[in-house]
Amino acid sequence: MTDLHLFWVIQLAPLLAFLLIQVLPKTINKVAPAIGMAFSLTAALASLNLSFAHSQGAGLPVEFSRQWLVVADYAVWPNIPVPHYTLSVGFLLDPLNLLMITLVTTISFFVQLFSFYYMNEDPSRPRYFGFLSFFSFSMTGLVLSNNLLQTFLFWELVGLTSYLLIGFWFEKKSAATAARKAFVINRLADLGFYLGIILLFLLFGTLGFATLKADALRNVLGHGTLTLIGLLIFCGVMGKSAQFPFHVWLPDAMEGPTPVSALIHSATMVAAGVFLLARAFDLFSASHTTLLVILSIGAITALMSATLAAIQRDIKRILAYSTVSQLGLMVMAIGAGSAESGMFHLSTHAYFKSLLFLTSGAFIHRFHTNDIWEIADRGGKKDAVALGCLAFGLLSLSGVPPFAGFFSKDLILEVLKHHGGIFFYGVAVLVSFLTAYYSFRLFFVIALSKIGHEVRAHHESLTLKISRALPLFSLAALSLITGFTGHAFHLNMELLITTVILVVAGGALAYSQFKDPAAAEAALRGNQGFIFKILERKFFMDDAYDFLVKKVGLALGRWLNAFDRAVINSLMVNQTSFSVMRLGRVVSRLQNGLLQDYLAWAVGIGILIVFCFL
Amino acid sequence: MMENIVFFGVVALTLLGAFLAVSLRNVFYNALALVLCLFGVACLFIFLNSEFLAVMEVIVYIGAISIAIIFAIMLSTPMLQKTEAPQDRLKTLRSFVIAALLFGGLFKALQKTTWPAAGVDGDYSLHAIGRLLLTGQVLPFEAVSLVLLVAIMGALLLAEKK
Amino acid sequence: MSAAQSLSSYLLISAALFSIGVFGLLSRRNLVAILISLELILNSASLNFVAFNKFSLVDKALGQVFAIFIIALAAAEVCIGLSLILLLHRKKDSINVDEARELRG
Repeated sequence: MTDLHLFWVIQLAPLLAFLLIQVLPKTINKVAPAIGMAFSLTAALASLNLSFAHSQGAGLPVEFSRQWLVVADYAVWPNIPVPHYTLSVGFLLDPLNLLMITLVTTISFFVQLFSFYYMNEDPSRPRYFGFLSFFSFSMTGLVLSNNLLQTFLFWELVGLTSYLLIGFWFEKKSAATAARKAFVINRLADLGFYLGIILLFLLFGTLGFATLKADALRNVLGHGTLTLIGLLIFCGVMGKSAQFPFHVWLPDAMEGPTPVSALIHSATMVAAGVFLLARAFDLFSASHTTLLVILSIGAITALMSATLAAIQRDIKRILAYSTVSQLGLMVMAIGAGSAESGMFHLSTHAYFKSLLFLTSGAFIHRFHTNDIWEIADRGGKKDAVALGCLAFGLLSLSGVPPFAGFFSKDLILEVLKHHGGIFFYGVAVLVSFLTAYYSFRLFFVIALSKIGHEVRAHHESLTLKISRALPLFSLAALSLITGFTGHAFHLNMELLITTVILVVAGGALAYSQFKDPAAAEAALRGNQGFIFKILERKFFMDDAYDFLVKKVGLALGRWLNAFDRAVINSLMVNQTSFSVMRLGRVVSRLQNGLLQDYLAWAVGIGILIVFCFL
Repeated sequence: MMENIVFFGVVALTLLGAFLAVSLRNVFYNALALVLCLFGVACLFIFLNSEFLAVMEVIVYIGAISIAIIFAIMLSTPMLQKTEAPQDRLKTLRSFVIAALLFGGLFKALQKTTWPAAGVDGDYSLHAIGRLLLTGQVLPFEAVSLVLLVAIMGALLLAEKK
Repeated sequence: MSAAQSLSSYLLISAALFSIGVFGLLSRRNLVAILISLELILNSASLNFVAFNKFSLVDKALGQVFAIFIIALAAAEVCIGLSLILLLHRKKDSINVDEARELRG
């Protein structure tokens, strides 16, 4: 099979699955999971085939592009030497998205497999698997597309599926609210993205990634314009990758089913922002101001959410804040000018974070609670499979060598040390320390607690057991080996020591606080300190949004409402209709039903016309 | 000279008939005045060398149409008591002004125009009319016959007692 | 030239007939009277045709043919008109045109 065939298979297999599941008769919709899994396995195998064919970047980049629209074949903008404006559609494959496409399709397959276990009691499973397949379709489209507009299209589609899946249990009010929150915040951010695309197209004339090169951009556009475009597009990234101040939707998005969180809200969709940063890296790196803003936003996000992760009780929220924090680290790396290290961390993070989410799903499904103390209380540490995988994922997350997280985080630290300046390096070090702290905290609480009211596992069939364990083990293995696939694989002794010290310090701090989890919980309840309160309220971000929406927004809305009623409605709309009515009343007197009056008008006007010609 | 006297007599007859046909209050008298007017027009047709038309005018118009109108009057109004309610003065005035203006306009147009002239001699015969009806004007002829058919059917349908 | 042998005298008569017809059309309230006025108008038209036939046409049958058409159409018109009047009379017990004004705005 040629590359193009493989592209089509990867792109269309999930869509086909989605459509098949939609038309499935109700009587046999039990096979929906099988359809979803089969097609996502197809896509995964196709992308593996692709990545073996191009291992070590052989024969890349490959582009299949077709001209779609010639918007204008003359320069429409004064002083900008753009001779024509064309839009194209197509596939572009380079080492960057080869990595990404493999990651998306494999994780998508594992998550579908795990979902078979996780959702096996849910009556609306076909809908779930349909949406999941549709998400895979959108995500592969996003990754494979060769220009910004096509990316944007699929970007919106993944946003939509994210909304649908967060609100999958829409009868639950909190889930519906969370879905709406995610949707609205993302649309707000995407507005910036879209404006950026329009501006870029107006001024540059093409949106193909292959043509967005730093030199070409600098030749055509000024520094200010480039910064503006970069920041507008980064706005979309901030929404999708949950960067400050748009990060508030991601923790709430945990209302969705846990495998969805693993696939969409940790591994793939939220990473799309980082992916876009790397994909259109020249667009951002063309202006050092943009890079500095990206770096700062990443730093704020990483630090803020790492501290928040350290106080959460809900296992999924811990992981969610951790995701935000890690995304912040990736954004920092790219802001410091190294797209490779950001993407490397993205890929390792995708594997171990989806592993962690699936593990948390395994806990939640068995113990019916999200609270880590309750999980521990109900016998969390007896679930050897889940606990082992949790340990695996957490070790990787906190950056213990030789797990994958170690290599990628090391690389980021190195990049920040050399290119980011001492301040941002310090932030990253602090974040690494906090990461180790909350990882070990999570582990210790579950592993060291005494078991209170033990919950025995239901009897599970062999299929269910396999669909539970297989994805966990596979992802655990992947989160071990992906570390060694990095292009810039090397060991820096100094950084190794730094990392180990950070991990040990974080672990030690966590151990000292949580060696007796029950006591620690009591202490936690008693602690109402100032900092703790700030953390509890998530740095007042939700309150700030609340204020913005409820006070400022409502006041504005009230004013606009009054304006609408007084000026638009009564003055303009109603007066228009009233005047038409008045005119109509006058004219309708002509239509009085008297035949001879009509005749008189007709003959009279006819005579007038005759006189005009005389 | 004699011709002129007769001509003016006929014209006076026609216009008087016309005037009475629209101005008398009683509809029955109107119908009778219409007969007078139509008779005058038939005489004018003779002055215009169209004897066949004059005969047709008398037979069809006076003999059929006017009689039909009189029948309608008989059917719809008890004859002698039906003097119309007094006319609306304003309406009469308005109608008069419009009619006068119309006449003025037509008169002026008549004066300003020079009409093409051809000799008065020619074949006015019934023979020529019949030939023309079935050759050059056969299409309008057929159309008119169709209209007549439809009109008769329509009239039957409309006047049918439900 | 005698008045009987000039085109314009016939046209003048025709114009007078037409105006009288219009006057009746606009002023009378009785529908039968309106129909009578219409007959006057039609007659003025056919008088015109025949007059032009004599003084302006080469083919002396053509104008007469059209006068015949007018007579035929007048017959049809009266036929329909009278049945409409009868219908109205049956419905409203009146043939006053001012009372048939259901379509007023």
